[in-house]
Amino acid sequence: MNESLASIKKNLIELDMDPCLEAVAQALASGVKSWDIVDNGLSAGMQEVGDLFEQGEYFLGDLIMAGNIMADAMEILKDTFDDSQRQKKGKVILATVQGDMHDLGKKLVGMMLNSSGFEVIDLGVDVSAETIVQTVKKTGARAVGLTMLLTPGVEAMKAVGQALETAGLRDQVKIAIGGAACHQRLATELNYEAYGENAAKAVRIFENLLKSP
Amino acid sequence: MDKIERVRLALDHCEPDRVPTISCMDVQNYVYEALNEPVPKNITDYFGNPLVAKLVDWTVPLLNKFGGLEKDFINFFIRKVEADIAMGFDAVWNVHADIFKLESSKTMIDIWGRHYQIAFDKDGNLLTPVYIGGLFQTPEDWRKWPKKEWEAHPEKLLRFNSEINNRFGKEIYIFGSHLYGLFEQTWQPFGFETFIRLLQKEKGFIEEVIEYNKNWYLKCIDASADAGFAAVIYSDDMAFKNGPMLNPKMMDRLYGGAFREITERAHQKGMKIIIHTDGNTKPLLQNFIDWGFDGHHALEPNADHVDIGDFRNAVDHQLSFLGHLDITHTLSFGTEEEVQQEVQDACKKAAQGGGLILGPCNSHQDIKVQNLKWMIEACHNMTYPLFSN
Repeated sequence: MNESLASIKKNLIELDMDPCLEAVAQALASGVKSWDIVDNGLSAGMQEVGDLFEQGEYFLGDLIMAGNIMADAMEILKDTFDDSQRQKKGKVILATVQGDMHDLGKKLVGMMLNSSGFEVIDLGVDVSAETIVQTVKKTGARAVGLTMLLTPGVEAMKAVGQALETAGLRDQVKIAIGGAACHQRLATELNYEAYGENAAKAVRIFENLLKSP
Repeated sequence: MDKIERVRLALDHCEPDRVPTISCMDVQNYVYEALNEPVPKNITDYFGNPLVAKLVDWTVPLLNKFGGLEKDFINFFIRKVEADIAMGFDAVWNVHADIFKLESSKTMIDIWGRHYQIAFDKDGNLLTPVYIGGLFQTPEDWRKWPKKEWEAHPEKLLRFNSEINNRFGKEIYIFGSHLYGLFEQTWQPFGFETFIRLLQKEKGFIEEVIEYNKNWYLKCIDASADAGFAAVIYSDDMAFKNGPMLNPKMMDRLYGGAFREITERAHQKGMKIIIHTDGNTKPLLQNFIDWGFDGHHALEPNADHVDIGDFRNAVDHQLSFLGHLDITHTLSFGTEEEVQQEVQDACKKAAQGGGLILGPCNSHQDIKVQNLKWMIEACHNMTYPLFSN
């Protein structure tokens, strides 16, 4: 691996913000392609941070720190991308269900998906089932990630599947749920396709969902 | 043996006559059902009416000035202790929550810069407001925030604690408390993402916030000790279902020194100090000991890796354990047999040699008074020596 890409990855994994950003700027200046920096430096580092999180070595704060480094690096790179160089993995709509205002976990999921090449449409918090249906229609997204922190959100979460059903869209959209008040049992009860225990698992979950027919 | 002695012995890792109980319930339905009274009307009960809501939105400064909310909260938390006594709990987590101000008919803020959604239970009764974010974005926001009420808080806390202890101190073991701990007090007024960003960019400022809060928290410790409490619960949620929010190593580097000062102050004043945090706290157990805490409250059984037997094996009797019983099913929807079973299982795993005080791991609107009665009854049967047959 290119030395500068290795340095980007290493500094990201070690959560060293300034050295990582310097390495990104250096790589760019020395002619490394932007997508190469993203895929083989930043995303590779993020993947390892996600693995460390799953292994219990890293924690929520570490994930956010890595995400901040990634975001600042993308700021350096933003005008240098040639989008024809690669394709997105697919569109994913993310939303905190109606009545719930929490979105930290959702933002983390968005960050992980973004860094892995998904196109993320984040609808924010307190999102109605109707807004989600309209967004599915408008964007053609085939996956929806729903989150809630509080138990009273169950009804709102259920309403999303029902609204998609009523709109005749349920068959073409996969739904994954996550957040403190969610669990596998709830996903099964609601007949949703997946439950994610944490943000680090989101990439694999949505890759699998979008691969399946 | 009276309740005070029973709890004291358990906290000292001695075996009292039986396993004691603790309440952390702060839900209106529970309090008034336990007292056999209807839930009284309070100021927020009228917010559901659109006309009243509009009026509230216009007159918020006036309402805050008259302190209607403040009186409701204080009165409620006095009734809460009465309810816990009526139920037969051995110990109560005393809460002083005179910190909220209305922002509108739908939201509140607190004196420290947090933002809340006003929440109601299924019967329309006010619940603990739900934290939804911080009011600050920059160090300047925090520095400019008026701290007059903040500074006045320990004095108010002392008055409240003294009243509670004078009225109920002989009837039930009272744990003093104060919302919020240093970690929550550092990140919540900013929101976690902004806090992390500041930690990466302006660590010196975060250290300044911690130092300020530590000095102020020491006064809150004094307010529990001077009121005559023998123990205090240091409430500071540091973990969620999967694990700690911040890396334990960083947690120790940032907060360890301040935590040690707080626990030392409590010990100097002759108090035990118990740390409350929800979530999977397994990676933090050794830190709790190193920071000088005497016990740990919550041990949320549905959080990942929280098994009270494993926890006891990991720390032996270096920490007492409080709370632990499941509120998502057992104490909310469980049968009498399920409640008995859970009490028995917890005692088998962690009650030998004392150091266990059982109760709901948290407060929740679904918890049933009947299930709590079964829980208390089951603990009455957990007499020492346990399981000697």
